[in-house]
Amino acid sequence: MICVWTVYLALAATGAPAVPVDTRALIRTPNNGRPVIVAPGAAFSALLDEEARLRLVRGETAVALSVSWADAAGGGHQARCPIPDNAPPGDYAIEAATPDGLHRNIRSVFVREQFPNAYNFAHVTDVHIGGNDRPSPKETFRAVIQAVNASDAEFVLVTGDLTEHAAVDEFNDFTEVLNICEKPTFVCGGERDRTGTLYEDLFGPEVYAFRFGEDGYLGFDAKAPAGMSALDTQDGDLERLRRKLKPCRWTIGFTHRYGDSLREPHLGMRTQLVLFVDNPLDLLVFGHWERENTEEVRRVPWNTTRLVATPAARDRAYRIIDVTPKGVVPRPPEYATTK
Amino acid sequence: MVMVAFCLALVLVRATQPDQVAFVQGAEPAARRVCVADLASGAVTPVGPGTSDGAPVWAPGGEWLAFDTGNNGGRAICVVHGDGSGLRRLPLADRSNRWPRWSPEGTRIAYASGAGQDQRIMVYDLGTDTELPWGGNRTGLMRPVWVGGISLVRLQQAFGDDPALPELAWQPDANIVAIGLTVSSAGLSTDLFIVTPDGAIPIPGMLLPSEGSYEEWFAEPAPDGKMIAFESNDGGDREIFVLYRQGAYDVSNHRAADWNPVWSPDGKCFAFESFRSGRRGLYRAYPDTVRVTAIAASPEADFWHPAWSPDGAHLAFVSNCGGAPRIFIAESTGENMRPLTNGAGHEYAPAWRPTPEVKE
Repeated sequence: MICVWTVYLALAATGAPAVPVDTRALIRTPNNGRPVIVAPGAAFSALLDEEARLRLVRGETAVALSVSWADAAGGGHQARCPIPDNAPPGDYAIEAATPDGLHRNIRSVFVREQFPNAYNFAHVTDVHIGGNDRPSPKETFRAVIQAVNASDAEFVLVTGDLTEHAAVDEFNDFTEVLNICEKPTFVCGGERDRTGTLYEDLFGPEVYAFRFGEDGYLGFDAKAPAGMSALDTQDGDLERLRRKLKPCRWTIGFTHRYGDSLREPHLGMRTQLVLFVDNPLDLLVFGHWERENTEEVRRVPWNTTRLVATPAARDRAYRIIDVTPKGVVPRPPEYATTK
Repeated sequence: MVMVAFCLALVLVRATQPDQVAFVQGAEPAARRVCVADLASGAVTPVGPGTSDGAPVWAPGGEWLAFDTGNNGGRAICVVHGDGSGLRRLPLADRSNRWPRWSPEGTRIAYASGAGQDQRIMVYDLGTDTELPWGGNRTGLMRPVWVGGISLVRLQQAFGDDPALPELAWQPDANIVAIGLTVSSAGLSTDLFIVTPDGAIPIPGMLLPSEGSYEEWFAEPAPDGKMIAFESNDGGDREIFVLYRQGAYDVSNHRAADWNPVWSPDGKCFAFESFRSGRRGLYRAYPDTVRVTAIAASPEADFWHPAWSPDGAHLAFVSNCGGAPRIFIAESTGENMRPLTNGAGHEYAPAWRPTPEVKE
């Protein structure tokens, strides 16, 4: 909990909330690595450690939420939060008021009136904050985020390794730069981020899904310790979430690494059957290969899902991917300019 | 010394052995450890090294546990007594080893060794401390299970009906069924293979539901030797089929995915996981009538990894219905559910200790 305190103190400093903010992570999701993008009149789910009065805050604007509560599977309290029809579009913090304080997650709720039929998103991977690169990975990440800010991407998928050692200071630096992003940022850790529990304390479970308009996105961990996906909840979560996304126009997976089953034993066979055989993803974006990662692989060995690897952000790289009614088309990697 | 210990385990065990459940415990995956819980006292004994230990499997007589565990980036196979004594990391040739399964007589362990397409089935003989490859030159084999008794005879008969199939050196006591990865221009696929020491060939298509290209996974022979349950996406989604002498048929049949069959000790039914409630739940299927009943399912929580008690009256399983995943014990109908331990959760992969074989 000390770790979480420290990181949230840093968040409070960089996010500059206008009201006093308790540093406990009462609101587990949404957060700055697991936001929601939602239209007025629609609803989103929030997961909290305890029930609280919720509202959205953006500058001087506050939007009260009239929520209904239920116990959440896996613990905690799930709030169904309808967005009022008259809520102004924009990016909001979600704020929870309890008798012992005020809790706020910045950059968590993005209200928008329309979801375009054709759009693009950015993929950033392998930031490796804490690595020995020069310029530092933090400064390179800052340049990449600034480049993404200048693009017309609707949101950003940020896959691990976010940090080099999953240290508190590294996560502080990561979130400091993440919070300069002007677009929703969906993170998915790598194996280097998950040597402790700090990643999940900050952002929530590794396996999650979200929808953007007609399309579905599914984040997952491809490098859990061998066999653990079979013991733990990951296999079931992937099946359940993949099934929920089945009606989507396109379904896009994102993860830190994908070694095909011929070389990489760590992606469990069950995970592969769920994502590439029984209900195949249309596209999987990932990183991990870093400096050698310049190829685009056409298909996974199961011969259904297209595979797109993006070079590492520590090398200033990112990729824009176009989504249209005709398909999902990755552009060549782009490179941010650093000083 | 080792041979003596394992031979002793096979004879004269009339036991007053308490009910025990082995399981994996730990919030952090890299530090998960195999433990054994005593149902009478509630005591929990850590028995594994705690290096990302995998699912434990009891030897048929309940004397030993086998499990895989992390080993400098690879996976080792360990054996240990239920009280934590005799922990031993088997000296295996390859650094990556998974899915240990005990042979019916309890002196050998089959496992997959290697990675991806290079995986092969190995058998470690604990009596002679030797490791031998099975399956001849066939690689891409994984998740072995032993088949013996009547199911072996039935498989041999089925193979015998097809003169086009190559001859296999069938072992008289037990052979292995494994999942085989096949690579073709159409991509990867998985099939059920019969594996003997000298070779491995796919189970003949005439025994499978249809001849198309479908992906099989998770084969489990019934303890009474009459059938083998397995998963396939034949029919469009993942179903559990039962293979018997005259072919295979769909037992679980539902448009939601059905997974992971685990036979009851009497072989009359199997528990399995299904998403028909919207989340992962536990159900029971009877192959003779194709009847399916719910054991534990809810749209609010997950239930998975069922393990039968030796008498078939109870089940252990994992659920996150109260927060962090923990193991629950219930009657085989799902009634009277209670936690296995008083711990904080993060418990996985229960395995009920079998009742020792009684030999006069």
